[in-house]
Amino acid sequence: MEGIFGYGAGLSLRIIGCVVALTLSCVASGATSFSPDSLQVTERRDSIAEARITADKYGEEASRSQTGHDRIDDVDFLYGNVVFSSPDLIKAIQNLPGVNSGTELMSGLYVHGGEGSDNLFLLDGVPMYQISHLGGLFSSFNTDVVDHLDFYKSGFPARYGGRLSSVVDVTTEDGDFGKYHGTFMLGLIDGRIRFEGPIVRDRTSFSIAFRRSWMDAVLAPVISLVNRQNQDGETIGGTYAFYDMNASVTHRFSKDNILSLKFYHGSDHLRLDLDTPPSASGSVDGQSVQGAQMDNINTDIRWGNTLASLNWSYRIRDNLRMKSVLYYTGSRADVWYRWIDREFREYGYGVSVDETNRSRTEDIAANADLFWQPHKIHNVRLGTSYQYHIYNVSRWGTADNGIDYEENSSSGHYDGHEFSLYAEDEMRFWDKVSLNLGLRYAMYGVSGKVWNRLEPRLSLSVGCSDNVDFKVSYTEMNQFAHLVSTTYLDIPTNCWLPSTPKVAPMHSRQVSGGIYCSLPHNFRLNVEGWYKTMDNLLEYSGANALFPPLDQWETSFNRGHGRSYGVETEFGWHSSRLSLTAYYTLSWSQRRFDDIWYDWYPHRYDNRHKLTLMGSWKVCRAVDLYASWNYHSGNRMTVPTHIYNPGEVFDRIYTRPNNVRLPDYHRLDLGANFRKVSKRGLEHVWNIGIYNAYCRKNVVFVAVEEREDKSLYGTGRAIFPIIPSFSYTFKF
Amino acid sequence: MRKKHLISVFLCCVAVSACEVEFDLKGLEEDPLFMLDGYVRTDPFYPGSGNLSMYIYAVPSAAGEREFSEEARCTLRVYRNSELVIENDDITVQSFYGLIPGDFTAGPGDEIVVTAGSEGFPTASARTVIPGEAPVPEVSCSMSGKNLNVRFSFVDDAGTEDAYAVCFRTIQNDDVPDDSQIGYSLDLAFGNSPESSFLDVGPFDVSWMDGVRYYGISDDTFNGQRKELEVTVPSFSANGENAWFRVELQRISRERLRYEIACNDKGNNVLGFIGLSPVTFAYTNVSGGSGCFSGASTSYSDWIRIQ
Repeated sequence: MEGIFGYGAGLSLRIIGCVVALTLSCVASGATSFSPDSLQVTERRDSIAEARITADKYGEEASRSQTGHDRIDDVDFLYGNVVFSSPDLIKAIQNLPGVNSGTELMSGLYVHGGEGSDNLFLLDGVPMYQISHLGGLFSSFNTDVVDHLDFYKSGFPARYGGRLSSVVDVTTEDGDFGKYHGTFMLGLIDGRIRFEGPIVRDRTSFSIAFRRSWMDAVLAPVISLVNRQNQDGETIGGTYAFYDMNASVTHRFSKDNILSLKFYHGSDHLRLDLDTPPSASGSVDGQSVQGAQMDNINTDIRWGNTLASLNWSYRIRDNLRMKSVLYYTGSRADVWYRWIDREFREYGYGVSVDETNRSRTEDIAANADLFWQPHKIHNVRLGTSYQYHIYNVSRWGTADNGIDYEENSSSGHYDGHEFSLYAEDEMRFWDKVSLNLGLRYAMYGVSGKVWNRLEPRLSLSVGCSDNVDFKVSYTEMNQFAHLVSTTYLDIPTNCWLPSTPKVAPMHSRQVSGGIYCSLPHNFRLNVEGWYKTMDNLLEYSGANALFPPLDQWETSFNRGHGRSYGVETEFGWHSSRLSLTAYYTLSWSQRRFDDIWYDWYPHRYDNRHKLTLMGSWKVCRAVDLYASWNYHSGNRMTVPTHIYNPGEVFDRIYTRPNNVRLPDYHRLDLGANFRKVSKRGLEHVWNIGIYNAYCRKNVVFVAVEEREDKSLYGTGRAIFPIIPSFSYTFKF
Repeated sequence: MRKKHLISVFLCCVAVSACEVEFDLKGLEEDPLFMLDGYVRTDPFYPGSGNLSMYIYAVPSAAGEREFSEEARCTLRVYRNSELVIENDDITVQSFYGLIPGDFTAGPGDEIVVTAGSEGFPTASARTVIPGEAPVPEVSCSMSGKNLNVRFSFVDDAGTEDAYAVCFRTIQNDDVPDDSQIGYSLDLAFGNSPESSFLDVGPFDVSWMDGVRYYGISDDTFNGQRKELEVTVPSFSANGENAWFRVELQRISRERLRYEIACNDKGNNVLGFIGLSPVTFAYTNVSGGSGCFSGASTSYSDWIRIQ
């Protein structure tokens, strides 16, 4: 039997059997307010190696004072949030109301009108900067090791800070202290393996998980075949692979004194080697030269994260617990590019362009948090943190045109010191009223400037009856790090840079409120509205470039404001076998950049309507089915309002930004899991999935073209049609 | 087996056909507009005179009528310090009319306003002030192999926030050319700096063609100070001892520099055209229309023989 004090944690009982392992958990808003009456026990006879018997999750969410909070546990990942038969954490969040997903299959989260870089991703309390593999197709979080995640989009508790729009707090599982377990999964694109167990029984445990894509093994023979059939000398070469690894060691000195070491490393590697038709022609030493030899283009891109943390959890007294974390988090991206003109090289001229772009963001930090319950109505959290930020970006290149040889370089280095202090008190009065009152102070110092910010946090919940709660919240957030990007793409040429004397921190204010109902017969209905403002936003204002300018980045961005408001609803019903959920969001998201347009204009992800329908059905103990249908109004794009001499790119006139709405987005995903449990307790799971089942052509990017009658139309490109997928998982 | 092949072909067809989709663009403006691109320039060889050079483009909207009536006319008016100095009401409304020249009495500090109007168009108007006299550049040059190395400098006026346009000119002449001879402009060779979004602009902010090649630079980094620049003209054909060289320096309104930079950015922004990056909103100082109207004061260095 194990128990951990504090709200948000719970009481759990784990019974290990030879076939069935039962986990009994209940969650209450505070340890002292736990009542056996709130426990809903449902035996799942059809479950396999491990079944989970839980208190009603929805009741737990409704009882907290925070608005805009969702908890997703590992069971949810299996249903409806699967891409290429691989459960995905970010896709699960994208389905939630108030969250726009951006461009298809990008792991973007645009929460309550924010940008993709406005979200704080925490892996066991450690910030993660790069959250996706393969341009957003897969998130960096391996769901095999994820225990649960807490997602906040409003009503942020004071313990969180540093980003404008949302917090994604991911908690991983510790290794099993009693038995060895493992999971092996092989999908169409990636494979995963996890192993956990005791090092010293009941004292020390380990968990290690590894995931790797294996597309490179498939692509190599395909590329070889294509090159062999290509007669004109053009060749294409290259590879792409990603991997990530999670590892942890946890030691219990006692049940109140736990030390754990956690590590994450993830990396992507893309290499391209192309021989293309010669670009050179002209004369060398008076001789006419007609290009005959292929040009060579070589690109090597590597990017990823490394996180390491030492966590210490200690109960000082019955009503006082401490948790401290010492961590390192680093994000890196290296982009190397070379173009060689072999034709001129034959004549003794070195014609080539060589460019390297390197970006590093590193944090070394320490956090300390106290959980104190001075009285049964008070749950106090106090904490402080210090983060030392190191931002290093550099770029150098050479250009040799056969006559001149030039070297160029630029770089930026910043040291940032971020200190924060917070206090929050979750108070509960008369069993009906919950109030979370908090204040966070943040200080950020860079060379030449120190920013001081106070962030009040307030959440109030009033229960009208046993099943109906009203909630309201007010929060302010500041963000001292800016994702400097020249495009909307999630690519490794983007880099993080800090607020400086010329670039003020971004700031947001948000008011949110709603009604949360647990209706009879297992129905639930939540309706929540929000109004949010954002200041000191940045939007790139320069020319076409994949690499952001480094020397003068502060002057290459327009400063502006944002606002977002809307209503989001959740309606659901669940039973032991069937679960149905509908999310709907009606929202507006706008921007105002005075250097671009004199008035408010729609944000590019101003998706007026968003509807998600999800269902899962446990047909029998061996089969479960799931489906989800996602719809949202089209994204917005800026197209020229006036074009003359069409075809000449110089002759486009833009007026109001994001003036055109692209076609609506919708798709249906289907899937099924087939399970078999052997007599020895080994579990086999076969997953079959269909992404975009009716092959909707969802537009990712658009070109504006002219018909013969000179009217204009858009030609959109959809990247992902219907995609069937398959995976096999073996648990032991 | 045949069924398997059919399924494979079907899946491939679905995959390929899913790639492209056409749709109508809704919500675009329907009114056409005028794009003005012009300047008023003073020249030391024509003291007290302002030289107008104006291009007018009638630009149809993306959603409205794309053709203009042959009878449609545009009226261009030019005011100096609120006094009408030029009126031309016989300009055919078409996508490109050609150069509209004009001369009138003007000098540094004068406010010049232009308007262009026609039925069905919003009236386009723009205002500029002719900058103060441009400093005279000091120039030296020498041949280095096939390349011409040029060194020049000038002193900025500390009291104003200016921009400059530089043109490098050459001429073949047996004797020293007259000051009024303009010669031919030269293109320079600069590397493509990774920091620069423009090709071949070297120490300058932008370059543009206006019949001849101009290189623009703001005075942000040398306000009130002397600016020294070294540039190279590659593969310069000196043609004996008859080649002469000089630098034309224009003090220009800052809106001209801002406009030319924006036009370059806009033209290069391929990712913006397809919605993958922010588009470039070209700066304009023309209300009711688009484009740029600016002022300039010109100075020249002496002709120097290239050796």
